[in-house]
Amino acid sequence: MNKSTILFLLPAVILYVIFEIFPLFFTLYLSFCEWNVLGDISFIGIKNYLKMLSDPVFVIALKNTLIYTSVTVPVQIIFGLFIAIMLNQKIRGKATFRTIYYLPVITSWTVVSLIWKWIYDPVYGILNFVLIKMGVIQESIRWLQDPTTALFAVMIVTIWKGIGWNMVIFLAGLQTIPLDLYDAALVDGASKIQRFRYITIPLLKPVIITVTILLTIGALNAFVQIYILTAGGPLHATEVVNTYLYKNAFGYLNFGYSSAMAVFLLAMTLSITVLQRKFFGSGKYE
Amino acid sequence: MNKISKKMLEKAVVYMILILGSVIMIFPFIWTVSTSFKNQYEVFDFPPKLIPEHPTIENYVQALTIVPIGRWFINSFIVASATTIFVIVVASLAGYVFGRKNFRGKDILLYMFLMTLMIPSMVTIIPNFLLIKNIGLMDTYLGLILPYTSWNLALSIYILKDFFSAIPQALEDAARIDGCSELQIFLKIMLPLAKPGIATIGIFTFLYGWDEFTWALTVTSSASMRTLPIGLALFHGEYLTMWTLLTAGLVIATIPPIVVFLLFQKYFIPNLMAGSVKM
Repeated sequence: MNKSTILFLLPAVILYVIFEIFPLFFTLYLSFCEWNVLGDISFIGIKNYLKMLSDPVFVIALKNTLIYTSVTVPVQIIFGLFIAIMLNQKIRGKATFRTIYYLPVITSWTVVSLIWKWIYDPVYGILNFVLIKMGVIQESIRWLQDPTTALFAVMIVTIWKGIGWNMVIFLAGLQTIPLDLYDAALVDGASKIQRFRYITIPLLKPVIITVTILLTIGALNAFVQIYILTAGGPLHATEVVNTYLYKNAFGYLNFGYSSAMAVFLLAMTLSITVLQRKFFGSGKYE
Repeated sequence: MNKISKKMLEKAVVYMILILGSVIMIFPFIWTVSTSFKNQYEVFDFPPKLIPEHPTIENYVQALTIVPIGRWFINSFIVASATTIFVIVVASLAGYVFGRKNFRGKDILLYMFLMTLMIPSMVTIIPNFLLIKNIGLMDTYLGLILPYTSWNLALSIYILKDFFSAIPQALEDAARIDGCSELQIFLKIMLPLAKPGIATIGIFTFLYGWDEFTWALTVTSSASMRTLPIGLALFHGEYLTMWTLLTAGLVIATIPPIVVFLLFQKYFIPNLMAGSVKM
């Protein structure tokens, strides 16, 4: 490695070590300690991890995280793919449709969450008004304040924001599929559904796999939308690992305990990613 | 004839679904804009009206004068722009070396950078918080800019690496024969040719800095140092029913990302990695 190479790399490596590598190992270390900022750090072994597994709120948070992930990821993919396929034909106003569906993607999570909080408002929210007018519901629903609907309402917001991102990526993927494949299938008398099943899906498989993995990482680590919409409430109905972790860290200043949750979350994210890769195989179509 | 009408019907259904979807996507925005032009009584009128009866810009005036949204806007702008510049400088230096040089340990180093894409920022938030606190950067711009820069490096380096390695070797050789130094080659030959890549990472870094919530919530504390997302969320927490003022703030906060998107649409390459991983 010559001198200029080192100099070119140095700024990146320094920033990376300070704000990524060092904190990662420090979190790992803290997860085995008891520390509430004011006192001393004391090593307590795996007690934080044991506490976590017997903490009923953590168990709820973990369950909600898994529900949130297993609902939002596939639903976003299905809608995104569906719209991408519709837009990937001769359609008037294609660019306009694309921009509209992409609008929620470029809007920040904070803005999106606050917009939906206004839409969900139990008294003045437009959603209740529209649904009552349409006769779907009889009386106002307290979407975010009712433990039975809160998680569902939060997931709707995530799906609404994510569809456009999926659409754009699938659209790019669809455009790489050679058209003569479809023509050949048409000549052979393949129906629309057959063409979708035997051409589109296999050829898009690598894209679908990558999108699934990325969305899963994102969903397991969701925070901002939940923090703003419900802050994990009501009665922990929307508590996820991240909101509980953040509360423990910066609300109760239990740095040791929340570090254990952080390590757990990282380990879970990594293992689910590895499992997904294993399950899907290499991503190359047969 | 039958076949044609079937095709027409199919097209009509496709358009209907697309339009219905578009309405669902765009209505929340229209409703927000509409609310922001209503006065504080009309907003609670029943039944609600899409077009305000007495449109007013009072909410925008108040948002910028009484609520320090102007200040938060400037904070966000400073932080997002500075982060963008830092990332462009640091990532293009490193991306150039990864794209065009061979050295021992190159692959390992690159993998180590990329590995951090898998590590959510919540995992390292406590040590980073302690670090920023101990070096006295709490409630400062640098306390936001430096970590943001670091967290955006991996992806930026990865994207730029490909742009740099695609530049023909002949150009570099010619410059070397003309007696250019390494730095001159980088500045005069490589950087101009990697412009599209730099634009791409610049855009997503700016949007990241504009949107980031969790870290800014953690390390800013005074009202004058809040960024726009934090300011708006905390304002809502304090004045739960001030929807007219808040929606004006939301509209203001959404303008920069939309302007960036419209201006640089062609650089929004549908990059698989960008945008979804780190939040």
